[in-house]
Amino acid sequence: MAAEDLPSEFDVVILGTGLAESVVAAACSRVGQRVLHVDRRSYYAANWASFTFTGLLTWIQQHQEEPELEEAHDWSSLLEDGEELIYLSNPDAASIRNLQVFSFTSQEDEEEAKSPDPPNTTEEEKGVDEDAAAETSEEQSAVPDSGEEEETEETAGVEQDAHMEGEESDADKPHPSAAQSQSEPTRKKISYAHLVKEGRRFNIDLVSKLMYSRGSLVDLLIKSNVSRYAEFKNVSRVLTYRHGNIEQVPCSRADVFASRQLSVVEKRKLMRFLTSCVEETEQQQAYNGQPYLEFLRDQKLGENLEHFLLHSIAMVTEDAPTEDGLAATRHFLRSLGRYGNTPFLFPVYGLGEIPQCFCRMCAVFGGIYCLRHSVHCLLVDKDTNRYKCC
Amino acid sequence: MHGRVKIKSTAQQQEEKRKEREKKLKIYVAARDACFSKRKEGVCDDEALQLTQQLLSSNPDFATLWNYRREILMHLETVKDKDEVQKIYETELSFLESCLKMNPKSYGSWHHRYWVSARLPQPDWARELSLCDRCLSLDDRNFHCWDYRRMVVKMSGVPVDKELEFTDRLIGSNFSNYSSWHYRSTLLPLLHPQSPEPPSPSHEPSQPSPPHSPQTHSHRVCEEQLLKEYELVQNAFFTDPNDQSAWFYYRWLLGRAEREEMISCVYVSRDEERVAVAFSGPVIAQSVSLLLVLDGQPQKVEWRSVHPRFKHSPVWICDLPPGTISDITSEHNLTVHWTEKYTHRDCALYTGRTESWCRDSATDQELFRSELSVEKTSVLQSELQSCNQLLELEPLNKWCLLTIVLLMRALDPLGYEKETLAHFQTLKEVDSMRSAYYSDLCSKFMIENTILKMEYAEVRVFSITDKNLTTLCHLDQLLLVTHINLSSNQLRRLPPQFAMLQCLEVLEVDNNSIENLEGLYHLPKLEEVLLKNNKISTLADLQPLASCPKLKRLDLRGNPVTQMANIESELAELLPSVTDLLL
Repeated sequence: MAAEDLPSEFDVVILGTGLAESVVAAACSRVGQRVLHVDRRSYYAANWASFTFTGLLTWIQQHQEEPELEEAHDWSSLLEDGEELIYLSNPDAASIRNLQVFSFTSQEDEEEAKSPDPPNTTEEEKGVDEDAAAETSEEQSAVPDSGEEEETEETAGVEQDAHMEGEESDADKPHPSAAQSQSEPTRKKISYAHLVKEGRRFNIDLVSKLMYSRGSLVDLLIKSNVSRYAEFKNVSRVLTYRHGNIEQVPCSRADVFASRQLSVVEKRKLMRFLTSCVEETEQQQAYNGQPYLEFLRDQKLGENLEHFLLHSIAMVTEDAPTEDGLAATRHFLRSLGRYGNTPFLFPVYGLGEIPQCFCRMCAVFGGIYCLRHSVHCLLVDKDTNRYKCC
Repeated sequence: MHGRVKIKSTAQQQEEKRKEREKKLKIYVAARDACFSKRKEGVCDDEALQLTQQLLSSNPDFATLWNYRREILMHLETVKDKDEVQKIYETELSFLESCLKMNPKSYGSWHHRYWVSARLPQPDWARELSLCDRCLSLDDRNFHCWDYRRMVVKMSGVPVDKELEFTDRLIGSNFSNYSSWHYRSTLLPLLHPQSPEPPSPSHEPSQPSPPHSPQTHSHRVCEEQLLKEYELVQNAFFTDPNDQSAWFYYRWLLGRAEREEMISCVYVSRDEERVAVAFSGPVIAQSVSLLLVLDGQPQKVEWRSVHPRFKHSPVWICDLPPGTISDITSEHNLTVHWTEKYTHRDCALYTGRTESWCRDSATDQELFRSELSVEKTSVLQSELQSCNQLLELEPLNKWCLLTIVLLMRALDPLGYEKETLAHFQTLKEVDSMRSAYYSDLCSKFMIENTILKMEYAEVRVFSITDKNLTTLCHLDQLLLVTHINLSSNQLRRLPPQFAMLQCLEVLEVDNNSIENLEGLYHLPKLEEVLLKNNKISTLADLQPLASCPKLKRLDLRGNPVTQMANIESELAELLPSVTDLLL
């Protein structure tokens, strides 16, 4: 340890400040364990981090420069009697690869630079699911999270005004495609320079995820009182990409009422289906094991509703079994209305907030933090069962 | 705010609460007494203002204290200059905000705010509007706030179209809201009046004027806007067909303006030397407002309703001076002037005729369609289609069923009779709590249909048997009927309105459950009453019959009253004119 007056013995040493590690750190610290929380990076939250635009660029650069694997150092010289050496692997090596930077917008500095394509800066847009799924793919890819109002329509994300420092976007407009067409003539083209300049007005998550309002993470945040360290917003609407258009998914009663895409009969069918989903029925059980899509088809809901229910509400694949589809639908419905008109919550300044908040709780209860420090191997004293870190 | 479950507390918590409350009460009572004594002495100082503020912030429903506070404020108005008054009232407004936080539905607080806003030298209406919006976002059904908001809107001259947008917003966030829908119903006729005149221009910002009072308009909305409203409200009831608020609004949209008041029928009878006048609705007729002119000579007559129970009645009668029309060889021209409404109706009694009338028939007046508009049959037809579509999805939804019944009535009451009856049957099953209401409504529709059929046939016989009638209505339409057959129904009484059947000669009501004959009152031509198998149990129940001078034949078989001792002699005494009595 760098400073002499800091304790050098701990009950728990936790490596990495990702979500799971941070939760464990907070829990251990909360029950009185002496915790050392170490991260080899200079920022918290590991692959859960959120960055400003320039922060993200720096992060990409670092990753590109970083050698894939450090030369395996032989630590056996440190071995003492009765000790055994355990090497720790580099956890990042597998999760982040092939980083590239594209810019769809003009790289020139002039404001008036016009680009034919819609402006967007994308770094490997693997994570963006076309179905506006809240749980985007598990790969740890860098997903741009747009902040500027002008580019919100391009991101097929569930929420576009995420991390906008509390600024309202046009998300309240009733109809996305209408909004799009209205704003078309007046839309400003964004230059790269503009993006860099305004880069502090939005944050970008490495992992784009949202929380179900009644999901276990939200419950944990409330129960542990970690929620007080962050601010949250409710996602204002759920969108889906279909037939070349972005459409709003009607999920609440008010949405169904206001929806212009659904016919009145579809409205009734959707409401009836959603109401019938809440309780498990024998009719539903009869479909256990069969695809959810088949169950939906047999409800005679029509293609529109099938799409919404399968891809945007249950958010399952076409071959998911009925029981999974229904469970996901119920989860969605249970979460609906708790904090607003959609079931999803997000931290105002990005998902990186959440691991940090747990770390904060850990620190409040005496945990010690050490960034930019890595642990390469453990020395185990077989007799006392004590460990040393190197 | 609505539908929250109250959680019971434990005994210990209750005890703690009780002690706390006692302590509070002591302080509260002391402050209250201090206030009362100050008021008695007529003190209007800052301390009194302070005291009332303390009390009211914990109990904003103490009307006396608000009154006292107003007295103090009015006194302060006389001694302070304008800027100070403004400041005092502004503080008052923020104090009121804290009261409203305490109880957002306090009559006292809202009323006081109303009062303060009206007296404020420089009112800030924008602030008041935003307060209302905040309040309504917390509870969109707080009618106190709605009331207050209407005042603010009126005072600050918010344009009607802005207000309509406001209701759009509220309905969009939650359409289970009577207040929003109702507000819409008051705004639409202002913004999109039905009349061909161009819609009222939106208010110029330089001269904001309060919206016109809805009374000056026809309450109706132009066709184009109506279609948009139908669509909006359909979205609501397709989304949630069990929500009543949308259905009520829908019914209002389909409704029609009230019918013009007029004289619908004048009947004159030579034998009784009597004139009967029927109106389109119940009225109070007096000799001042209802003038009878016979052969050019105004007559001095005494108008009376058909039954002493009625002060308002759709049928009024008068007796002509003896001998005026009794000569069968003479011809007479009658005119009844209704001076109040600048309307009149003529009736000619020709030589050799014993009676005569002049009237508008129910078919001409489209009387029974008045609940729903018939301006555009095609619109109603497509509305009926939508409702039927919903009924397919929700076959047991009572609101949908009832609306379909009403639409069918408006479109073609006779053509849809069978479907209507079937729907009523379903309604009684799915909403058994209101089955009696549906029975009465169904009776009403059956009577209307029978009246229509009778008029198409141009007869004076009204027959509606074995139709499960539970009630009688539209009896004013039966003024000219001579023969009525109501046998085998479920009637329990002949109500006083029955006395409107001034031409009735034969009454058949066998096989009902009649206990009461109140309506057989002074029916001048009634000769025959068939009451077989009913529930007449006492002689007193038959008393009204004594007022019918021409009664000759009476069938009482199967009634409890026939079991009485001496019934025959008692009846002979009560009804000396009856010659043919069946017991």
